[in-house]
Amino acid sequence: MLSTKTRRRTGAAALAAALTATALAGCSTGGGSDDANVLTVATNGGDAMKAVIAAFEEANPGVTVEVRDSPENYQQVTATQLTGGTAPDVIQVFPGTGNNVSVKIAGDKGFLLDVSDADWADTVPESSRDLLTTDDGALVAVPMTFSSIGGIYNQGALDELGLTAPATWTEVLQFCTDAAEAGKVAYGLGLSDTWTTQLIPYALTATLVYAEDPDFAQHQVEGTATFADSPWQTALEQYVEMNDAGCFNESPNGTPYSEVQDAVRSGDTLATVSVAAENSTIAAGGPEGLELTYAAFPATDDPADTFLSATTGPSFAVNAATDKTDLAKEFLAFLAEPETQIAYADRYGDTAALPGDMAQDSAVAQLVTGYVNEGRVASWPDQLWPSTTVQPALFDGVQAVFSGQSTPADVLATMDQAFHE
Amino acid sequence: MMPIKSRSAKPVRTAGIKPPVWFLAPAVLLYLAIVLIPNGQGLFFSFTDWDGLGSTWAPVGIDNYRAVLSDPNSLQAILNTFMLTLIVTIGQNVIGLLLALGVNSRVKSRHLLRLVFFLPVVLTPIVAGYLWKYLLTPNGTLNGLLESTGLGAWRQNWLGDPEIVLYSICAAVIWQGAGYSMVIYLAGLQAVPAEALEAAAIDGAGAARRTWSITLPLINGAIVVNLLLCVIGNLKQFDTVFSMSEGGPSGASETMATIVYKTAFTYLEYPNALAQGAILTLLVGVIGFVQFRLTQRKALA
Repeated sequence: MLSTKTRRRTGAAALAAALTATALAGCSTGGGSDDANVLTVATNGGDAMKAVIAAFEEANPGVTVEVRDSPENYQQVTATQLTGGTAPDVIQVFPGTGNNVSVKIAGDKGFLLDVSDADWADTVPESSRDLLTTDDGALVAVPMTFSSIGGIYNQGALDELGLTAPATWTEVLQFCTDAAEAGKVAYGLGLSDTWTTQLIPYALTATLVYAEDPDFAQHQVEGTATFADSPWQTALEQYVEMNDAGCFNESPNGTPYSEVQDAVRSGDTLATVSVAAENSTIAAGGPEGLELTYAAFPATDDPADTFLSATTGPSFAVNAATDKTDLAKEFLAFLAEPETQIAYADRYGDTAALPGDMAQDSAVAQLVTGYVNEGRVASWPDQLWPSTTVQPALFDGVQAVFSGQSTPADVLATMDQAFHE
Repeated sequence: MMPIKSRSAKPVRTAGIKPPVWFLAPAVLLYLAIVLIPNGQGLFFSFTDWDGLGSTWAPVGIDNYRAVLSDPNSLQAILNTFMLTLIVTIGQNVIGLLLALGVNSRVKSRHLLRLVFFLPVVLTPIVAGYLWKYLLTPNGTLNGLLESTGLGAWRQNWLGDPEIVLYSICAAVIWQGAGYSMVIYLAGLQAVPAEALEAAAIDGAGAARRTWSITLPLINGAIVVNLLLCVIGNLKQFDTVFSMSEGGPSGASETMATIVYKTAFTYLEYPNALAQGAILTLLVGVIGFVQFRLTQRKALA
């Protein structure tokens, strides 16, 4: 308690100093810069942007790109800056709906510049276009990467047991049985970190719901579809079925995700369903020679049905209030070039959104690009949910199902209610 | 304050001079800018439908408060907060007092023990929370320890079972706070005159009797301070809960502070979060005030 108080005082003192400094510097220094040759870019953590700006500065002598990074509280910081008119010239935005710095919220309120007429606009794949377009039909952002959800398998551990990554739902359950017989956990599940609750449902609904009806969210808005009365029910039941079949570690609700990462590294757990970028994260902390295989997670017994749950990752838009429109648009065009895309995606640890004719080296990127080219991808559902309470309802619901307090039907009813809040 | 008077030196002539009122200005300005104005704005926007982006909003009266108070999750969080505060306040003070009595005796290792018991206080709560989280996983240290000592039947899903999670968090909070209470009690105990205890001992009072009839009444001040700090601190409990369970599983360990955070930064329902914050502030204020009044009267009696 003492420490909290002291900390708060120190914080207040620091804030006071910062306030004074701001006051002295005047109000002109917001996110933008007074210098016509300085372009400011807001990023939400990571250093992928810093890996590509040198090439832009080289191609545009005299121009400096300043990255303003906010790894924490990015949405709050940027929403406040947009409101106050002090946001950087180019800002990272989130595809679809979901928060105040997302395309369909900030874009619809007129905070992002319409770039529909850019040369690169035609290269944006169909699966990203809607997420980056406002409800008025204006394309406002350039996508940088595709993030996806799939099974991440410890290949060495699989080889030892003579198993392969399953390609159908029946094989998934068989895989669980085989793993259990060998004394291993098939799929690690760390629900104590709530964001992981959604991974398997998203992976399953890509095939079960969104492959069948890509406009499912729109139908929900119109009132012709609901979670409860859709294959979402099947997806959650299959989630429970996996649990009943002993696919997961003991009591997932009490297990942190980092413990799952470690168990996959050591091979005690054979696999986990997670986001693609986890391939590099898990590999980075693993033993020498750890080989991971990434595969789409099946939901039916026909491998041809399987859709990859993939979505547009970090995207960048021009702040409508900037006075450097041309330079900012030029920067977006630069971001859309295949070389930039691949440099960015490699550093980011995922798949480039607009690789053009170029190819990335990583196996993950090749798998994802394959699915994208075949049109077998379904966006993460939350990116088109109109209310921010649907996703937490799923998080809480999954935890409640795993502690035996709720059923898939109850969870979906709550999500339906949240959807129309 | 009185100036120190010295007979040899000339009296310093400061007693009659009052510092000018405008000396207060920097402090007042800072307090306005950092505390009063933002809080006032927060309170104001809790009566609007402002969504955090842009400057459009409309007044909605007490709708946000009504929504918060009719939301079962908020009510559960309020209930959890009271439970946690009650358990931690009792646990931390009983243990803190026992520790203080222990290390106040003439045990040889008392200096070392004081240090050891105080150590957890030095840890940042969020770090302590993460440590406990890993100790309490299904295959974590505690369950391993129980297994290896033949108490495998006592294994629990400490943070994953909605029936248990709140108590596990209470235990971690008590573990961290007991040393803090101990120090305050120790300060009180050191002020208890040895003569009084000796006299009682000569009169034939045993250790328990001496503690009950002499020590405890004499450290009333320490008890009041400890209870007050404990109650206020735990009504606002956030760090340990959030690092151990994020309020889960499915809201079973949500407190008022974690639900304010989630409403603002996960659900992005700023006006509702502001209303929750206002309710939390009001509760802490009222409970703290009432408790202070009650215990003050008792302390004076």
